[in-house]
Amino acid sequence: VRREILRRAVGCLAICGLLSTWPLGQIARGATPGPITVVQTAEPTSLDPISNTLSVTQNLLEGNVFEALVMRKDNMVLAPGLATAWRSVSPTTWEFDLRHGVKFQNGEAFDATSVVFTFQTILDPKNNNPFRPFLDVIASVTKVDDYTVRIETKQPYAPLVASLYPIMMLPPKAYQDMGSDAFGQHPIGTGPYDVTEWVKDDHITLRANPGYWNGAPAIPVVVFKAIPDDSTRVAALETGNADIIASAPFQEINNIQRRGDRALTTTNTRVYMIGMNTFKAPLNDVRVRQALNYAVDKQSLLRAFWDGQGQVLGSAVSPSSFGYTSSVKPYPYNPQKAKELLAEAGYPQGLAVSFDGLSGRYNNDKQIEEAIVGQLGQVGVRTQLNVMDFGTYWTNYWLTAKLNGLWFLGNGDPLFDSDYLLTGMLYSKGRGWYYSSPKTDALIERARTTMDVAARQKVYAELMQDLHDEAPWIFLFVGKDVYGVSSRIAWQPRPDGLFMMSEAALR
Amino acid sequence: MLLICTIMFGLTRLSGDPAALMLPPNASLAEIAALRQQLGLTAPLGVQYAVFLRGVLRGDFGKSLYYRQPALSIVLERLPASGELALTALAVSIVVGASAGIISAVRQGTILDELTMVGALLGQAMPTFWLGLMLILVFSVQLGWFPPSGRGGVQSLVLPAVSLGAYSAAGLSRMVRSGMLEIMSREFIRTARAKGLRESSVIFTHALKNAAIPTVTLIGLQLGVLFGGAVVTETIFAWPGVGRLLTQAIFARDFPLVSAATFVVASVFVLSNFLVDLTYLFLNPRMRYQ
Repeated sequence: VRREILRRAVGCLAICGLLSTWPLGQIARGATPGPITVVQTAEPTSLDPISNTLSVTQNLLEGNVFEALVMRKDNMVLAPGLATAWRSVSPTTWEFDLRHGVKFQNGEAFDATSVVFTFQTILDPKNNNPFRPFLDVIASVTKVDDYTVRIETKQPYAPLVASLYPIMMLPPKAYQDMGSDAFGQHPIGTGPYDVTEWVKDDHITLRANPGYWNGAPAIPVVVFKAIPDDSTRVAALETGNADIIASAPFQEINNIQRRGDRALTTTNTRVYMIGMNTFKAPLNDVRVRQALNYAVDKQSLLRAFWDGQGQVLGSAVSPSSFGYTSSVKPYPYNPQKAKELLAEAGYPQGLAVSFDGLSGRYNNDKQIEEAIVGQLGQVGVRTQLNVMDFGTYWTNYWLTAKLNGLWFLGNGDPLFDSDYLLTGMLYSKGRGWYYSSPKTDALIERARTTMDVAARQKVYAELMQDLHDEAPWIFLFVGKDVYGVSSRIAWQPRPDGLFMMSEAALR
Repeated sequence: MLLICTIMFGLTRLSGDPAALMLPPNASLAEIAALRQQLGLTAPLGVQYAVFLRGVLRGDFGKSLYYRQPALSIVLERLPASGELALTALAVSIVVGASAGIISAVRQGTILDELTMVGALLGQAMPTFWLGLMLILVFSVQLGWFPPSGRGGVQSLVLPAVSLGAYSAAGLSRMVRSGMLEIMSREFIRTARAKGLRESSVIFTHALKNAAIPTVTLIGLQLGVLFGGAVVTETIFAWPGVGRLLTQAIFARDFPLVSAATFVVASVFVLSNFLVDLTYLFLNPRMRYQ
């Protein structure tokens, strides 16, 4: 009798097991026709392009749903966008010719009124718009005629055109009628794709806009999804549930390629550094700061933690930012030289300094910090690593400026112009909390106001060499972004991270 | 609930500033200050707390800083996904856990019993994220039976539910086994057998029902845990639930959203405990509420 019961119980279990697998057919793998699926690490929180500066929002929207006055080609050279041409009328006045015949996806015409409205919405102090910091220099934006706009700046500002790149144009009537919050759910832009469905934390569907001024894109439907976990994102590509995955982990590059997909890389603008509080001893001594630069083996960090995907830097900006100076070479790894410099500075026995790090922000960030602690220890620099999550870290770093010793950070340059990072981090009249030098300030200002491109590059060459010698940071490297791309589409990643799905095609 | 809301309020405001996170690094101090003002972060903490409590009492947690929508409705939007996952995981854990527990109790001391208990030990020792990734590798990447992530139909529910339910299934099976063993040696079981009842009736009607009381407590608690504690599973399987939302909100210091999500999770806890109490009435008619 007992055996029978057991048999029944097992039978029950087996049926349950069968039931749970029954409706599941084989999931199609590889090349299925239908929408192209793009997977990012997180979902945009609002699709109003001026409501947040999150890269997952910007990368999805710009060039797909919305467009800016200026574009960048694959090599990040500025190109016409919704403006076909621009000129500097005087050092503080710019004029932009707008593209004719462009319509928003709701039929509203794009013209000078749209441009003026977009800028005024961002610049209105009442709105506390997150894009206003990019445009602080603008004094006024006015309509000259229906297809010409004039921008006046408060002072001569060479990177003006570059700073318009993140600013996507809004339809004044729809935006005012709907308000930012509703517009963020149902965005309306001029781009090649129209947002037709958004199921929260699940997917956002983009459909080709048949009325696009540059012709409807080749791929009719693009679906954006978010998968926060690295391994799951790769699994989505491997199973044919994704066609493009962003932020593929470095250690999966071989895996992705083995399965017939492609792992494509592009160098981004994010500059990684160990910053220093140069106002406090012992880091106020330039010899100590140089010693630390000699003490860190940047190349081996890249090899160990990022599969060698990156480039070691000798100065403050990435190779894709205007102003990068290739003649300024990285500090070589030389622990002996580091010890000598420390001794010269009066620390023959080494020294102790605090080290604030973060975790969960960049690929293997904590491991990199720990390795640096080890390398510094080799030359007698004793550090106590204090790891925080980004929210806490950023407040300490930026708002309260509480970091006293070393700190690890990576900062991108959305404008592809050295002025952005330098003003944000090393300009003492800007936000340079941890470093101040009259010479650096003067050179940053001169570069900002020099309108001639060649002359401006010369100023930056001098500035980059000066920063290299002053060593306000331990200069580390720029990294690469890795994308996994299925074999059924042709698509190239861009240094700015935009997906630009109208450039993609089925193979 | 009030206590939980207060703790959450305190914790989220201790570290990190949402205004600093919302603006790009080139923002000026004045711009940050203006945004803080707009977000209501400049008022003294006591005043902020009063405003917060008044909102909670009205069911209004304010607008999410990032989503620009009422925080509570964003959370409620994710509730069905979380509920679906938690209930399925609970069903998995009850079916698997109870069956395994009954089998090993009935066949105590046999190889089957040993195997089941080793399985239970493994189930409790395996970290959820590891199990989740293994399930994806085997059943999604290798076999192609289930999608690796996302929510859509029964297929997509299987892997996350198994991965989430495994831990509580393991715990449950041990509990059912020890409960059954204890009951099976009682007098009334012998009486039942002596009456000539069929063994299945002895096991399921007499033994299981009595062994179930402590188990139901565990199940009730598990429902709350599965619901609010699915953070890891929801993240790995990109499941659009409350747990994943809560993690994102905490990292972004999205105060209204954090409060609303915590409130909802806590409510589910309280509700599932209440349901447990009701189940007692059914299982043990001697129990009465005065």
